[in-house]
Amino acid sequence: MSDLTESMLRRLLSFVPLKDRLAVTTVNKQWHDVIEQSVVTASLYSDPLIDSTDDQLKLFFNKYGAQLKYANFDMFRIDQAVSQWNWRQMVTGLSRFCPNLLSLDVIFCSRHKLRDKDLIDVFSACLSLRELRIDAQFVTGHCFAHVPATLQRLELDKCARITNSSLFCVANRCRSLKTLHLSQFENVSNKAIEEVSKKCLSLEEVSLIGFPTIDDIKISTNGLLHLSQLPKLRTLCLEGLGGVTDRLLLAMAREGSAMMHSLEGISLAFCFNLSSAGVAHLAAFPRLKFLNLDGVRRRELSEGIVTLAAKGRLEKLLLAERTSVSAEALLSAVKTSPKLRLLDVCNNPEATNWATARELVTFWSKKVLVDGTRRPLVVLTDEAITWTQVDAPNCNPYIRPMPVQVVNIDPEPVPHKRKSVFSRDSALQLPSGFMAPELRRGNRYRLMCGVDPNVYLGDQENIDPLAGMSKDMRQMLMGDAWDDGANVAGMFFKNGYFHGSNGQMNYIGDAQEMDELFG
Amino acid sequence: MIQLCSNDDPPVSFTVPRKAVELSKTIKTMLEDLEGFDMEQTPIPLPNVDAPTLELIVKWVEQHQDDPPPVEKPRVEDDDSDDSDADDDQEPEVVIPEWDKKFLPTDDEQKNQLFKLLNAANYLEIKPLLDIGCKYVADKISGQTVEWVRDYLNMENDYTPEEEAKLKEEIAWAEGL
Repeated sequence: MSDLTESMLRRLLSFVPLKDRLAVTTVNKQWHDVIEQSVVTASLYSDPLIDSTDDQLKLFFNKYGAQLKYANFDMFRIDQAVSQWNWRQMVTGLSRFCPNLLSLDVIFCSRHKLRDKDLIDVFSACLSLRELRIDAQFVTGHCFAHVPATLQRLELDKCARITNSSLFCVANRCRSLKTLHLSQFENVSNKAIEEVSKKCLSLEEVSLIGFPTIDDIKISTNGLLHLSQLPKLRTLCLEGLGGVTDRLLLAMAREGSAMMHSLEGISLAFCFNLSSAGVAHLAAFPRLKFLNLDGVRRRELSEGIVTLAAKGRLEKLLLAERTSVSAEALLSAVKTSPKLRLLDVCNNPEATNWATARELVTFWSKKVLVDGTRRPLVVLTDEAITWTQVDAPNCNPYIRPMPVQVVNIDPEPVPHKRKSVFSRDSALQLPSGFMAPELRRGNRYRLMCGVDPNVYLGDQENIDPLAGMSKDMRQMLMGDAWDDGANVAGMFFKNGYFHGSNGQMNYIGDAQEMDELFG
Repeated sequence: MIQLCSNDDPPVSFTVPRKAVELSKTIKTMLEDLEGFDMEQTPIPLPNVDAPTLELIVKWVEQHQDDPPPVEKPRVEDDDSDDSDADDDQEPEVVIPEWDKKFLPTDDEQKNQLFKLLNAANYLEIKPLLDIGCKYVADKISGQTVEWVRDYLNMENDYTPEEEAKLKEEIAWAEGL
C-alpha cells in the first residue's frame, strides 16, 4: 500500500505526462493497473507521441484505443513532409481504433486538413462522439448527414466552405447540441441560423466569429435575431460581425425573447457597428454578468457601459484592445459594480490613467478591507507604468489576498517597488474562476488567421487581425518567424501559451522562456 | 462560523467562516442536507483528518474563501459510464500560485504531511487544492525512475523479478515514445 489512497493515485496520475507515466508502470501491481486505466487521453501536441513513429503510434492506439475518450491531433506531423493523403489516412486510421471516443480535436494542422470523406470515416468509427473541433477549411459539410446524433459540442473554424444544407443536417440530427462555434462562415446565410435556432433548443453556448476585414459574411442582423429564440442560451459570442448593431441588441432584449432569463455572458468583440445605445440595451438582461467588448473602438461606448454597470450585476468586464471608453466612465462603472471580479484593460491606455487607477484602488480597497462589502478584484493590464505609481493599501498579501490585484501581462518585468499593487501571480496562476467563462471565443480563429499571411495582407482598414494577443506575441508573429507562422503558433500551443481547445487566449507569462524559444 | 473537529483523541476543533468551509464540496453538501439545524453550535467531526492536516486545510480555505468558483470544464456527458470521476480524465492545466507554493509542505521531511493533506483534500473534495497538490507531486514524479517513485510514494514492489522482467519487455515498445 502506498501513502496515498487509490482514488488519490488515479487523480495524481492524470497530472503526469503520458511518457513519464508509462515509464514507471512497473512500480507495483496496484500502480500498474491504475496507470493502465489512466490512459484515456491522447493529445499528440503535449505528449511525446508527436515525435513517435507511425508504427509506435499504431501500437499505442491498438493497445489503448478502446479506452481512449479524448483524442487531440493538433500539431500532428506539422513540421514533417507527410503527404496530405498519408496524413489523412493516419488520422482516420487511428480514430478507427477508438470506438469509444467522446471528443476529437483537429484544429491546428498547418498544411494538412481533413475532408468530408475523412469525417464520414471518423463518424462511422466513433459512434458516441460528443465533441468535435476541427479546422474545416476543406470541409463542405455534407459529412454531417452521418454525424452521430450524440454530438453535444461542434466547433468548426475557418468554415468558408460549409453550406446552409450542412447546418440543416446538424440542426436536424443533433438535437442535444449544447455548443456551436463557427468562424468565417462565408457560405452560411440567415436561413441556417434560423433553422439551428428552431431545432437545437438545448444550445447553451453559441459563438459566431467573423473577421473585421472580411465582409463576405451573409448573416445579417435579421439572421442573428433568430438566436434569441434559444431558451437555454447562457453564453453568446458574436465577434467581428457587421450584423451586430444597436437594433439587434434592442430586439434581443425585448420582452418575450426566449433567452432573456438565461443569458449570462455576451461577447461583442470587434463589432464596429455597435454604439453606446446598443450596449445600454444589454441592461435589460436580468442575469447578464460577463461582458466582452474587446476592440469595439469605432464609437464611444462610455455612456452605455455606465448604464449597464449601474444595474450592479457585472462580474467580469473585458475592455482590451482599445475599446472606446473614457477613464472616468470606467471608474464609475467599477464603482457601481459591487460584484466585479475581473477587469481587463490590456492595450487600452485611454481607459485608465494614473488618477483613476489610484482612485479605483483606494475605493475598492476600502470596500474590501473596511466595509467588507466587496471581494478582491483582479485587473489585467500591460500598462505597468500607470499602475506602478499606485500604492497598494496596507495589507499583508500572505495573510489575505490583496483587495486589488493588478496582473501585468507584459513580459517586461515590473520595476520593483515595495508597496506595489502588482500581484505576485501571473495571469496563468490566478484561480481558474477569475478567467471563466471563456468569452473570448474568437481568439483562436484570429490566431489562426494571424499566422496566415494571405489573410493578413488582405487587411485594408488597418485593423489588427492579431488583436486580442499581447504585444510581444504579435511582434513575434509578425517578425522574422513570419514565414514559419504555423510553427510559431505551434510553439505557443505546445508550450501552453495558447490553449486551442478552450478558446481562451492565455497571455505570455515568462519573458525568459520566450527568449529561449525564439532566441 | 462553522466548527470542524479532527479525528484525534481528544479532538481538536477549528472555527472557520461558512463561505470558506464551503470550498469543500463534501462539507457543503452536508450543510445543505442539514439545512434548518443550527450548524453554528454543532461541531462537524472529520474522521479521516488529523489536527495538523486540518490546520493546513483551514489555512488554505481561509486564504481562498473569496476565489470565484472554479471553472466547470465544458465537458462531455458520458451516459454509459458510471465513473463519477469522469471529469478528471482530461489532463488538467494548472499553474501553482505563489501563495500556494509557499503554503504546500514541500520539504522532504514533510512528505507525509503533504500526502495526508492530499488525501484529506480528496476526501473533503476541495478541487482547487487537490489540483495544485497533484500538480506539485506529479512534477516531482515526472521523469523519475521506477525505484525513485517506489521510494518517494513508499510503495512495496510486489512483483517477482521474473514478472518484472516480463512486464518490462512488454512495455519496451513505449521506450522510444
